[in-house]
Amino acid sequence: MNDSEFEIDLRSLRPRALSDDLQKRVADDLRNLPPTNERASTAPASWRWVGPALLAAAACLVFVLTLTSALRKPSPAGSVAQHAPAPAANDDFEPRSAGQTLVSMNDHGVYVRDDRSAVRMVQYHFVDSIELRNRAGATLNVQVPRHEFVALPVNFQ
Amino acid sequence: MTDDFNNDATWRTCFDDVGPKLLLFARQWASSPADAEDIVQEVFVRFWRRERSFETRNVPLLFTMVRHAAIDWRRRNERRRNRETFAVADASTTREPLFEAAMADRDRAEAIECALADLPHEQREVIMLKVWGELTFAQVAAVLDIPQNTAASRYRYALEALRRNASALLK
Repeated sequence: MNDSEFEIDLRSLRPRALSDDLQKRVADDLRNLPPTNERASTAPASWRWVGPALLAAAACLVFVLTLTSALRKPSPAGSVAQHAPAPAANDDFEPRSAGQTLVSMNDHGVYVRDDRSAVRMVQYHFVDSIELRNRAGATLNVQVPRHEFVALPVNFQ
Repeated sequence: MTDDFNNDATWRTCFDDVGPKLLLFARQWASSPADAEDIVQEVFVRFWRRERSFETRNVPLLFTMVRHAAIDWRRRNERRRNRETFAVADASTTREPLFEAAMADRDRAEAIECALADLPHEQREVIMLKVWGELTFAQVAAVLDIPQNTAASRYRYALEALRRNASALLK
């Protein structure tokens, strides 16, 4: 019997069928699935933080801008004209859009952890950006660099 | 006909098709058929909750998930069980065959199972994915995270060793 005949012979063997118990357990687990629109995100785990992180960054920026604005207001009436604050209503910058750009990716090689498992450390360099606009139509673009280290499991064969 | 019914019918069709292959693959690592079933259950439920549909292109992903889950399972249980042998060898002690076989074919199936147990682990997983998982070499390489040429050469060595050992057992 040559290799291809033997291969056909192997394929004629069928893996054992699933037990009724296994089918029942899976059916039980899948019985109460939420509606499709509530399905879990299929985005890779390393990207799931992006939304909350951008929201947090936007909240921090709004806070800083509000604080800066509040500190500038108590200037005396007779102060130099060019330092006079604009009307408060116009200083209320609000986030209009946000995004992120992947600038670079560096592979730092394989590291062996304490539990003897190996991981490849990859460093991603992103720039998070947010655009703010006030009621007077002035826009403010803020860009914040961010570095993310991801440990990818390595499987040695 | 309700959505639930359709959903139920869809996952059952998928599971009937791919489940036995996943179970066979998982038994390489698990120390008993029941443990292999636990691994396949965990993986399939996780996959279906996320995807809610099945396409043939998802098969390699399912094998990859089973492999990772099985390796994690082995790591968790390694210290407790204090053993390093792989489950195909252990499976002989559980007396649960890997394959469906009529009585007339039982000797042949048992010879193949024994020959499989004697293969090096890296060759055995390639042959299981290629022959019974029905994956291409490119898909096998992706599942195992190895080059395609390595997958092909491991397959050739495994096939040769399997044929030789199974023939010897049947003589």
